[in-house]
Amino acid sequence: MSQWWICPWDNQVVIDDASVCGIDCSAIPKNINIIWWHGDHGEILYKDRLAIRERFTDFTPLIRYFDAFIRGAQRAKRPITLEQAKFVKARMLEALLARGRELNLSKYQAHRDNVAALLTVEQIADYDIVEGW
Amino acid sequence: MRSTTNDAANRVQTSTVGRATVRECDDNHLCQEIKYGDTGFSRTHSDFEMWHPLGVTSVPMKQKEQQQQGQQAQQGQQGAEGWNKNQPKGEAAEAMVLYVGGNAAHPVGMINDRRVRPYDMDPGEAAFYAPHDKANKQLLYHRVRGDSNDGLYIVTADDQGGGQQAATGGGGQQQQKRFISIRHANKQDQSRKPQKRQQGAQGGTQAADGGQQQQRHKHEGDSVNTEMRYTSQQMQFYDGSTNVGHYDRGGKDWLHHDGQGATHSMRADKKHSHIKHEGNHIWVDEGNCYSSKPIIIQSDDCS
Repeated sequence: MSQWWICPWDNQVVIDDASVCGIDCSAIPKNINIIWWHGDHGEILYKDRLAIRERFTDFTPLIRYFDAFIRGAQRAKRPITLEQAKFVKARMLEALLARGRELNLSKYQAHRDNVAALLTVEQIADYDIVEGW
Repeated sequence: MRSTTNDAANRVQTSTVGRATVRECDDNHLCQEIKYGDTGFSRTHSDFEMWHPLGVTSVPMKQKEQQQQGQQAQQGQQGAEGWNKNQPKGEAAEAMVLYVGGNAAHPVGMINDRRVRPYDMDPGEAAFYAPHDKANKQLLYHRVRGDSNDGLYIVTADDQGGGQQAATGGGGQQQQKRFISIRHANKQDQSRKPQKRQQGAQGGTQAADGGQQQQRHKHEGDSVNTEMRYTSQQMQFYDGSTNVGHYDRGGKDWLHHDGQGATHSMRADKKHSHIKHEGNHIWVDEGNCYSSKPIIIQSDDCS
């Protein structure tokens, strides 16, 4: 099972078993311990309450962190490949569909085709998947 | 040359080997010196060499002062014909005095101290000890008794209450705590020109000739590279002068860290075990396994 998560207090973003540190997570509230994204929904584990995870479905606020992951993963010891970056971005597009954006399937397909046509990892990281829905 | 009967007898007695009690030694020489040695035939030698087996050195405790025997007696001087009728009688280390070439003016001492020698060992056993009144508290002991406890023992112990007082007779001695240190240290070479110090300057920075200061040589080393210490309660690990871990027998607590406390550490005690690195923690206790964040599966490139 795919496991995407953000550890804001350690400025760390993880996709599956690839970790990138040094991502600015200061915008995330300090009482959040870990944020998971499971493909079609997410969970938040808070620090200041009983450790039962709280569910959410809007992936949009997390996009900037996973874009930053793609950027940061270029500097990893084993850098992210173009195909891996496209795969990640495609999963991010699918995550947006989970919140009812399936009403505009044509836009989803347009974004998907655009991402597939990009030539560099940096372009993929910079590509705005929210635009035009 | 005139000679009395006593003088002739004395010369015979002192021309070979004699026994002496040792009042005090001075170790600040390339060859240690006995400051005063009182022979059995009422002669007192002063400032003469004491030989040690090569590779071993020790400084005997001073002669124990007796009540009703003051400093004056301690410093009893030889009378006419070399006789000293006022030798101190307190318990003392003993020296075998050898007269080199049969010349009483050139004694050499070899010492023993029955006040402190650890005894009752078996044939084949050996020990190296600090010859003070707590000699059994600092000991290198080769145990050879043919059982499963045989081996080389490096032993120290804290003083217990109600023990014997020092051989030197000082009362009210505080209970001394001791540790064993096994260390790799940085050491300066010891000067082969001993510098005379002012009497009583145990800490030893003041030279006898006035202004020049000189630190006493640190036989334990000037500074530590790596070290293990054993105290009564802990086994401790040092990197330089920084403690980087211990086992505490009270808390049954193993802790290893980088010298900055628990930030980067491994710990196992009676209540839990943990691995910590910054905010990344894994720990277990009687109830559960915990991690401060999800576990990432990855090949371990750490050698």
